[in-house]
Amino acid sequence: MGQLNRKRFLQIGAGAFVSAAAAIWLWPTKHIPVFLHDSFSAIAHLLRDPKKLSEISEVTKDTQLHEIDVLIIGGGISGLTAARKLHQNNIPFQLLELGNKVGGNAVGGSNDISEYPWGAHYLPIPNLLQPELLKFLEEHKIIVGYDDLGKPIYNDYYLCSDPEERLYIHHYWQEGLIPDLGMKENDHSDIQRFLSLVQHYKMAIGSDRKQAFCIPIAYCSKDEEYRKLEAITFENWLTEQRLESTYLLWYLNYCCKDDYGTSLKNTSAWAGIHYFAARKGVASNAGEDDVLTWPEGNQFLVHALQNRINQNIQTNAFVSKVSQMPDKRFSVYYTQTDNNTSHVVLCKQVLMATPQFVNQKILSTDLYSSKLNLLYSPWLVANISTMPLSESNGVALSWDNVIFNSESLGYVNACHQQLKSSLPKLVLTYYLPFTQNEPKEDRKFLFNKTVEELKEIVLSDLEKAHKDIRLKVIQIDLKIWGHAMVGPRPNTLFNPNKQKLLEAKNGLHFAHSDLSGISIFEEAFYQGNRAADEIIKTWKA
Amino acid sequence: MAKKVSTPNLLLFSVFVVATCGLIYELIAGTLASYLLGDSVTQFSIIIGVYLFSMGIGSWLSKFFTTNLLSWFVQIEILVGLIGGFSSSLLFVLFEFAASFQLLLYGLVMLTGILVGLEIPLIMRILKDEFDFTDLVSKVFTFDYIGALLASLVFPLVLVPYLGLVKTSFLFGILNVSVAIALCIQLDYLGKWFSVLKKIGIATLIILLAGFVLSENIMRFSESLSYSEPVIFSKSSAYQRIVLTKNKKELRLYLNGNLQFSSADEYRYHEALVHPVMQGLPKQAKILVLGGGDGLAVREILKYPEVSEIQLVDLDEAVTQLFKTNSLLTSLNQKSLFDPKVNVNNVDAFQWLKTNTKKYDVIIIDFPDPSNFSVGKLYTQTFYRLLLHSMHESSKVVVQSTSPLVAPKSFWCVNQTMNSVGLNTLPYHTFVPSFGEWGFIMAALNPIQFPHESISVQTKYLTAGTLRTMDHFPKDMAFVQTDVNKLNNQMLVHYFEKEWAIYQ
Repeated sequence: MGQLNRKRFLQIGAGAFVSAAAAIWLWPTKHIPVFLHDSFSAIAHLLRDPKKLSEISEVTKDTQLHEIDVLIIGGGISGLTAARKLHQNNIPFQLLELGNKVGGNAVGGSNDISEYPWGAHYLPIPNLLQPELLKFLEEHKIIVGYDDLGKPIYNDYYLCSDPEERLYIHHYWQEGLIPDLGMKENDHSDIQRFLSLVQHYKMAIGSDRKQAFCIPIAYCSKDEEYRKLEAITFENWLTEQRLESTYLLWYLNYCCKDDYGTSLKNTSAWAGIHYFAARKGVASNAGEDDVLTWPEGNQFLVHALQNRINQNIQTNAFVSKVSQMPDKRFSVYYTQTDNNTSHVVLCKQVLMATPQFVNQKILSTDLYSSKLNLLYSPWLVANISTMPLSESNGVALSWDNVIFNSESLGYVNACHQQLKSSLPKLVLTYYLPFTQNEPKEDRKFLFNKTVEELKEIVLSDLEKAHKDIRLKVIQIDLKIWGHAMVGPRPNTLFNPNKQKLLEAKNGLHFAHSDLSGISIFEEAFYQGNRAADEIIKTWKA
Repeated sequence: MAKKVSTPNLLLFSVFVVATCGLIYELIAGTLASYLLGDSVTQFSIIIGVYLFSMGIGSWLSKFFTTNLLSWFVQIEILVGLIGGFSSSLLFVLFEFAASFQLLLYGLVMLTGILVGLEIPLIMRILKDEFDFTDLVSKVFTFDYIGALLASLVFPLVLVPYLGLVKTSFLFGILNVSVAIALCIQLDYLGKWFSVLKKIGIATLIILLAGFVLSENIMRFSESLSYSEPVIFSKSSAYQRIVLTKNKKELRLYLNGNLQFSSADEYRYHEALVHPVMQGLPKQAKILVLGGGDGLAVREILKYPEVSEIQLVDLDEAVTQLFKTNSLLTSLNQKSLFDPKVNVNNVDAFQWLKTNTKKYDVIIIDFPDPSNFSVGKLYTQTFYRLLLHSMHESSKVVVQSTSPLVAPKSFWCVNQTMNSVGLNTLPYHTFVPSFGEWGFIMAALNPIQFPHESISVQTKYLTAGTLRTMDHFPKDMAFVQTDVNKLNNQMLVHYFEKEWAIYQ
């Protein structure tokens, strides 16, 4: 029993252990490929540098000159909506879009498994206050007819299929997102009380005979009774109402993050209540809270908006400066980023369908001096291609799948609307808004993470509900939205400076959902049409 | 004599193996218990508790072993290997006798625990002269805990996903016994008893190896216990688990554990499904069958000489393939799927209808019951509206629509849903012993009459007398008002779950 033998044995043992350990780390936790999709942040960051910005806006002998009557800047929903309307009225226009395709927050992507959304992914059944929207939905067979009572009949294939929503709470998938499982008596009563309070606001009519809460926000009552809710945070309002259930507060915080990308602390009480009290959808074949959805999310609506105006759209166009000339015409400087050429467009009217943090940088100071103090939170969106995940007890895989007490909004099954009986592979779209810190800090945090770190954030969160996720996932596609959406913080929605912007002067128009103050399709659609109407009026005059 | 590994080191290595194997057996028991009994937190904590406590009993018992420690050690090691190796297959197979399952489970965990608990004290006493005490304690426990760590990492990450429980337990049984055999070879010089032990060890090893190789069959056998008849075929397709059972009297097909038909009375079901809707066929009739990959409905359809073309759409190729190749099944469906009039497409019916442009004279829909959301879609208003595109003015449809006696709301919901797209419906029912009272809904765009007189082809079951009773609904199956089944409410799945819940 010599020393040598023992030593050797221990060496072999240690070697075996190390290789076994290595095998464990390398083999089953197979490397999951991850791709970060560019959301043109590199170019957009030029906006932060005023010197660079003025440099690229200088006219040289190579600069190409164009003339057009109306120029729309920004190809998100508001810009496309305005474009649709101008096209319908035969007004010549051009639309410049920074990205390589239009759609803004509503863009989608696709792979060999399915199409999927990168951002906005549903449209709630609209109320009847938006005839233009109903007309648009009718044009594209999303509304297929009207019943005897005049209620729209929606296309079955686009109404969100059952099962719609589930919540993973106490290791169980319960139906619906309002927590129900494992709560105490006072939790139930707080939730009931909250729901009846918002029901009251839903029905409320202001002294000006307008609805207290509706969509679009512009049609809401100006009654001080309701407007005063803009001055306080949703959190403080809830405290005033003695609504304290942690389950309720979690749920409401989730809702604020979901629609506004803000926490209870940063949402105005008016906006918080608006989430629950403004949706008054009317449909013959669906409930008032039902939604329309597509595998590719609102990219479906983007296609519908753009399909007749493709020839007027110029993508990869980075606008660096907009100024007014002595003859009152506007000069718009842009760089074509795919071939690096510079251009100037001279036009009679300009529509800024761009968010205010962009307007602030590219409009000359004589045209834009407003201080709106709007803040935009960053989001991480992951499209997860996977084999079906193992399920715990409770409701089956639904359209919207939320994990209680998670920072994220959970995930949406992009394949939910598919009619096939059994899918071997799925795409799940995971949403994570950052609401903990000031948006600036959160943005820095996000952009400093490596792709692998971002992937880990997603996987470790979903692992709470799906233990086998690392074995089932095939690929993860990520996108960071630096300025995903405007936050309806207290005293921002009805800021008088905003009103000034909306009043058109001398051919300069503004249309973006951040002027409504919340980032939803209906508001962008409203703003686009409103601005287009102004242009049409001037045009005809 | 140039022995490569010294006996003490081999013993230390066996501590490592014993610890790894012991923990694996414990984890297998815990996982199995949570698979079979549910509530993983309770199951795991009880198993861990029982296991640790049993190890304590083992340690205490070790003081009664006074002589022949090495031989005891080897014997225990072989026994642990044998018990641990067979533990998961034993539990799977015996689960069907559930009354005493928990007792058996904890008994097995206890036995393994006691045996593993015996080994550490024994080995320390064997080695007490080889090392200094401080060194010995440190060595033995180091290997013990490293083994435990290795086991707890490998189990969830490698073994369960890649080998499965049955193979894993055999593998570790094999490992356990191999170490015992290695010790026997090493200790051969100590006497004849060790060469006997070696032979026992090798015999055990062979049994365990056989178990490892045959583990698929063990799984299949344990599955056969959940069916009352012998399983003659089972396969997991991309969509479902297909199981075929047979006894002297009948052949039965189960999909995901749900009975699809029994050869003893399937003719009742298929005659009732097919013949009423097939009366008054035009010449050169085109028939569409959705679902029904078993070819039994097609067998009935082929009795009509007017039929020129049968299009069968069934999702699962594994099913249609089985009914083309298995001789018991082809004699049941009379090779109907080989008939030149029949064209089989293995695609989803919803997708198929969306792209189809042909109109059919008769459409026969034989989908599984709407027990989940993905099948529920095939009974929605949207589906029936889509179906209209494959119909002309005088086309007729029939849908199998679960039991109006057990699940009246589900049955009448199908009726209501078909009405909602403008179809005139004619619900009817018949008795199929292996299913019970079963319902069908016939429908057409124009008002239709149930054929009360007689069926124009040879039948085994239907007579004019039976036909006259089929469209009459007695009080306990009478019409009830229900919602329409839509994609965005899936009412039928909700009704079905509730009404069949007591039978689950």
